[in-house]
Amino acid sequence: MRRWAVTPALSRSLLVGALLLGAAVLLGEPALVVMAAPLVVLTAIALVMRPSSSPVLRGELDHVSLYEGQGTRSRLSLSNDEGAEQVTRISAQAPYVALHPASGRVSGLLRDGVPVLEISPRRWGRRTLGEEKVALTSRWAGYRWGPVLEHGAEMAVLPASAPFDSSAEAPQPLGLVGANRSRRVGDGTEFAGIRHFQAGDRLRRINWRVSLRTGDLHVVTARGEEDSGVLLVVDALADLGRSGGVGGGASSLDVTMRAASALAEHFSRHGDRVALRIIGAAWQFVGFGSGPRHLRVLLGRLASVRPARMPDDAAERLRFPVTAGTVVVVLSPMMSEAIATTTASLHRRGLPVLAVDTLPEDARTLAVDGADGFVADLAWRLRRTERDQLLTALAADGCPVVTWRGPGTLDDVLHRLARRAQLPQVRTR
Amino acid sequence: MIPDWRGGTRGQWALRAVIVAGTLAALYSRGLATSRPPVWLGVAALLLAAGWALFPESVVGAGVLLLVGWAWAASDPVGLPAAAIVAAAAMLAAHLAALILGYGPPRLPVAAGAVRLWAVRGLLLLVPAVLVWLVARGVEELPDSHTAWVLGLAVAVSVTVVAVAVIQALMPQAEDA
Repeated sequence: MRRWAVTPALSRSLLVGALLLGAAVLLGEPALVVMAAPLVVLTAIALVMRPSSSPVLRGELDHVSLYEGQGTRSRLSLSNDEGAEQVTRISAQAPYVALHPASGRVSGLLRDGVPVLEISPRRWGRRTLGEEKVALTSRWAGYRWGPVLEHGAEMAVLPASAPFDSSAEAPQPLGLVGANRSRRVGDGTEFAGIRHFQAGDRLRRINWRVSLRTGDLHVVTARGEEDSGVLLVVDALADLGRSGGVGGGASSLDVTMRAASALAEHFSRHGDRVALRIIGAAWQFVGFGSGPRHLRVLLGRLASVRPARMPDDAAERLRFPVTAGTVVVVLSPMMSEAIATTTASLHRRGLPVLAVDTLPEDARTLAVDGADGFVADLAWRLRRTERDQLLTALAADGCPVVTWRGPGTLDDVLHRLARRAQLPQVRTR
Repeated sequence: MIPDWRGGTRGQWALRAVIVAGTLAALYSRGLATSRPPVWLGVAALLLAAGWALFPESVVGAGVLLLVGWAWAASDPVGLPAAAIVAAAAMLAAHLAALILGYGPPRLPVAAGAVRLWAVRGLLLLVPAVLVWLVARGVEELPDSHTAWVLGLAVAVSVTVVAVAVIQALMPQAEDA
């Protein structure tokens, strides 16, 4: 209602004041005049204070992008609000959005400033923040404007990075420049050996101690330092378990997203090129890139993920444009045969592939209402058995599978992959 | 739709208590000057006041205030006791408490600034009640009371109109300042 309307308080004071005055005159009861006098005066003042303005509202958030668990302030700017005295803001309650005050309702006098609401998204994903209803009240509370709906802003809430660090090197770095020690001799700092001087060698590489002892010029050689390509494959086919947001329980997709965010951040900081492939209803792909801007693109794409089933024939048409040496990290609860098949096929191409199991220990499928609890439990146990078989088959195929546990999750596996990369391999194409 | 008033804030419950207490105080202040109202009237006022406290923007509020006025008019005539000012203050307090509750739905924290503002305004609004009471006491001994009442009402309305006009004239200056 974008116009000023009479408040119930004004109607009440007008009705009671008039009737008491009339009764006082008719009955000759002076006490009724005394009782009606304050209400009559209040009514008269409120009527006189009727506003004629047409207020304009504009809601805005202090931040345009947030990580889950971070907070921002929702502010409301008013213009053309002459005659308004009081403002009331009622924020919409949305899942995984915390408000302060918790009720999402604030009110105050405009002379003290428009009250501010604090908002904090508690889970990654696309969230609408700042949607609210606003009402204004005129001086002496005679008229009310609104409540009107003020639409919020849709924000891609980025997944918070799970605690992660790794000291392992990429198994097969084949890039140009980077921080990973290469098998090839190059211009790095890691000692590789000492050999005779050749034309073109840099003078600063001469090892004078060996040269003086042998009588011939010798130079120190070093390993090259190269970047590596990392492909993150994210399984968004299902969300198993119950999510409690940041600080609460985590579903399989929560673990997957936070782990993917941590890995993307870790490898980007180390100068590696990171790509992202999301397996779900929409086949989203972010190409290889590095740097903070590329990291934002990756996180933004992760934030837009929604769990959805894949079309039946889609698994056969999955393509991964990766070159030799690219480290493939598959993040999945491994409940889908299509994901296991994809992982195995990537591994058979000779790529260093490692599967990260993101199924929480306490995860269970949410049984539909009315379902028999015994049957639901039996079905879940069957799915777990099938999952164990898939993991066993992957391990038998030589593809390492690790459970996500934060820092150091990938170290041991990457070390082993690096050693394996130095052995001769047979690749199937 | 019935609003969910169960999750009210502490401030809102305090205002609801003011509504109930104000209604009962206005009703029973009559007992200071003459006989107490009957029990059934007290129970009815209590129930209606409770309903008004839970639904502060409903028409129950007007009904409660009119019931209190009827109780005063229907009781034995005792002139114009000072208890009328107490009743006026109690009724005004209940009305203003409902007005503040009407700023928003249940669970809306009550703004302290609004309560202070309306407390000051309430005290100012009591001034006309005291003035009317003094005037009424002054004309009580006049022989033609009916004429006096008509004149009094005319004076009260005139004072109200003049007061409103003065306030209206002063408001733009206050804003400019």
